[in-house]
Amino acid sequence: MSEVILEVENLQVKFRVSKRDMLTAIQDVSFRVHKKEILGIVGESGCGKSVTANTILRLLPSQTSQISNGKILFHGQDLVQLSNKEMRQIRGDKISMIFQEPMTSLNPVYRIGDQMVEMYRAKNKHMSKKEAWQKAIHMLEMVDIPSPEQRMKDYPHQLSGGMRQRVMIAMALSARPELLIADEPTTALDVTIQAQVLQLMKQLQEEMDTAILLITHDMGVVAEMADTVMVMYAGEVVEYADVTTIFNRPLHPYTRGLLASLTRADRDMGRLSSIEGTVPPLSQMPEGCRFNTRCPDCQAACKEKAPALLEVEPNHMVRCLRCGKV
Amino acid sequence: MLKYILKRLLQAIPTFLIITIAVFVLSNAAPGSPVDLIKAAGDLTPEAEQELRVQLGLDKPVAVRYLIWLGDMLHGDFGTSTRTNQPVWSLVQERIGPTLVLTLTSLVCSLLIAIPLGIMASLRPYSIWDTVSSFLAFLGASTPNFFVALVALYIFAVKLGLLPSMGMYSSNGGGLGDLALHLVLPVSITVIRMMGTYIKQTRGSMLDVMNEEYVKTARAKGLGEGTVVIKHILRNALIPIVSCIGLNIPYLVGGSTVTEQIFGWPGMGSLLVLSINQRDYNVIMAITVLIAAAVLVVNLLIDLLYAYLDPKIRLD
Amino acid sequence: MSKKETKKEHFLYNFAKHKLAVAALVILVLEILAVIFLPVIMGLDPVTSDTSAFSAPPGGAHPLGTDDAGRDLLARLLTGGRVSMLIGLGATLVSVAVGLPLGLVAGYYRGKLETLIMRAADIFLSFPSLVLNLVIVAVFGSSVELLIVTIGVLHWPAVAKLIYGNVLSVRSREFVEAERAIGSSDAKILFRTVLPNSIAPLWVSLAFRISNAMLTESALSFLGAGVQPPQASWGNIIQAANNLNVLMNRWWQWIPAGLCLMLTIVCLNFVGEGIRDALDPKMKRL
Repeated sequence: MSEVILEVENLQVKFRVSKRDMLTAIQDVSFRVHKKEILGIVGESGCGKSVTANTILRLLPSQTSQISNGKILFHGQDLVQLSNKEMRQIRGDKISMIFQEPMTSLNPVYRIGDQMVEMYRAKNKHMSKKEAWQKAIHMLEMVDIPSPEQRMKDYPHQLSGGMRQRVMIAMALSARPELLIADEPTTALDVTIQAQVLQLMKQLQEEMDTAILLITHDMGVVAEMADTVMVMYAGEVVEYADVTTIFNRPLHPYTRGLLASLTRADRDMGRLSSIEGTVPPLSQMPEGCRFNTRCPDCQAACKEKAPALLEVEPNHMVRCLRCGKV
Repeated sequence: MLKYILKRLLQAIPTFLIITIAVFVLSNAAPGSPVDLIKAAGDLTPEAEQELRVQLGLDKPVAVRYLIWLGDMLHGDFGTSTRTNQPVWSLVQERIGPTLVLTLTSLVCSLLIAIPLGIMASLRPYSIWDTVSSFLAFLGASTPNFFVALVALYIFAVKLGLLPSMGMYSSNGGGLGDLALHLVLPVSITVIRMMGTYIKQTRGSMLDVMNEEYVKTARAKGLGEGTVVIKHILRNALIPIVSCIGLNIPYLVGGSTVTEQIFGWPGMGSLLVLSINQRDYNVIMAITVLIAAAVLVVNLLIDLLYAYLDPKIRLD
Repeated sequence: MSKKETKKEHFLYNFAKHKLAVAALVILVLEILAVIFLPVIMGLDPVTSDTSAFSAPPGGAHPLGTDDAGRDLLARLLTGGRVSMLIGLGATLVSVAVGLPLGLVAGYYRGKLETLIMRAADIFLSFPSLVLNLVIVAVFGSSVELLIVTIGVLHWPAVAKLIYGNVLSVRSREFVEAERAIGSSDAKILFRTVLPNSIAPLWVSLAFRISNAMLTESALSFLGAGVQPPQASWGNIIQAANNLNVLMNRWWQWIPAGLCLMLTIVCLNFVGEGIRDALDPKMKRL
């Protein structure tokens, strides 16, 4: 495979819940993203996928959260160690990000054009406003927004959800980043719009050679987009393999549950009807395997010993006491 | 935008009329009409009494009298003061300026202190800034303002002699510096009273906006923290802050009545108190109506500012 | 243990944790006891002039001195406190009695009634209530009863808006829908379900409302448009300091009443904060 651009090692993030207490939100998270690769991170809400995504760009508030362990190597440079200023150079330029809610991810008081121009000028102080405006129009054309000159003068509330997400994509890709982090980019959109936006993302990714870290709870989106899949549960990686392996030979019971829910009609918003219950809150994590409260194959040993992430076959990692013995 | 302004204007006009009706009804309910007073002073034949009523327009129905009064008032005729026998307008007119100077200076000063403090408190929760601002907010809400004013007057004007105790200008002075010195105490007292509300509102709005996704977008774009705070967070937080300023205008104006009285400020508030103690109804009515109009006008201006800040309103 | 009891104990426990609030509550209780019983026990007379001692400094027969009419200031301080507290409490009750039903009705029935009530509240809020209060007093004269009613009535919009906002959110919740679906009468839904579920913020605000009403009363009395001498209230005792001679030379004629008023307001606000934190820790500090 091609060059590795992002390598996350043993990442652990803690949240402050009171003056004294911290809770571990994610732990032992390791993965790699290669050039042009689309890595899908899947799981229900509360599994730690968004925390992982936000941590890479260090967007979690420093008062309430802390990277307590691990490295985030971007071309070998550890982002955890960078100063805030150095981190800002990376954001939006080398790595950019789009979010779930296109309704709220654009600032309501500024025109689309102003928000895009601001992006260009933050990266390049010498660029004139006029030049940035032209570049922004060009980007809007690239994401198939009709009459971009007019849309530049619109405020976010004058656009539809799908259009807003296209604007976000245009903005995120304006500096031709090497990595795009997309946190549930289509969840808030209608099904038809969703398909269009995904297709657009894939097309731009191929044109621009961008790698994508795609966060989603929807196995359908993963099947359509991803090259590699990482399944997360309760702050841990539970299964990690290429997309064909995940769909053909899922080993972790949680992954199987996610896939089973795919065939059902009800795959909205982080609810899994094929697996009972929800992700336990951080403060109530069970002993042993974190999935033992919901696992259909749970045995006595699962309640005592926390399983490690093991490579059960080449490039297929699973965190399950029982699967290691398959 | 035009629709929004018209709607606001159409709401303000009935509000104004209702307040004028209330004021008119109230002062008509007052015991001791002019006729009664004359009657009590001496003999008055029924014919003479009737003639007097016609002369004063009291024979007409209340509604007609209200309309006449309203019409006169809109033409600038507020009647005559029973205390000084001067036209009310000439008494009130010279009081408008001082009141505007006092309330506007107080408003600007409290915002200049409260907004930065509220911002600092929101950026660093539980820091010294947060503690200081919540202490100041509590102080403002928990002290009887007029008592604090008297204590301040006692300490700074009487004991230390640092500041003038009364009025707007010294009898010999009259410059801007003199005015500023006279403003220090009354403005400080009003600032203490108003500041808390604005601090709390700023802190709360800032914290609300901070959790918005577009703030994260701004950071993800690689913008500097200063730009994120001012251009993205504060700019949006200003919308509820401006609305809070508007809602508190009546409170600001009401409180300045007391402040004017204590510091002998030659404004409408002290004239109102004087007129109330002398039962000078025409002046009371004029001042009340003017205050109502002023508050409504200021609120219309605030609505305009609000629309300017919020494109959702501006463009609808 | 019933659910209600645990809730109550939980509240008391949380309140007790707020040390300042407990201390403030103790001070308030002592104050109330003092203003009710001390004048009787000590046989104090707040009205009669001691013609041998006009504006006498503290000492001898008058521990806190006398005012310019020769009236005993300790007696006036205590009976004045009684009047100020009575008005604060009474006015708050009136504002709740007016605002609560109006807010409830506006939020529950919606439609024209809602528009009418809420527009009326807005009109009230767009005019300085202190000024209106002054005018009313100018017209009708002033008495304790009138002050209670006017201060109370002028404060109704705040209560109504608070209740209204809560009723709006409560009425759309499932359990209200369910009651409506099984055909309960409006009155039953309103009083058994909606009211109990939307009244908590009113409890939280009660101490603040009392302190607010007391501040209004004292400001009015200070301006000469509140409680009228010879009857005392803290506000009208402090009024003496409007005279520069009193302000400069006779601290005993205004400072004690001012301090008492301030102490009471501070205590009420601390108690209010304690109640707020105990009922809803999430509302803390905002």
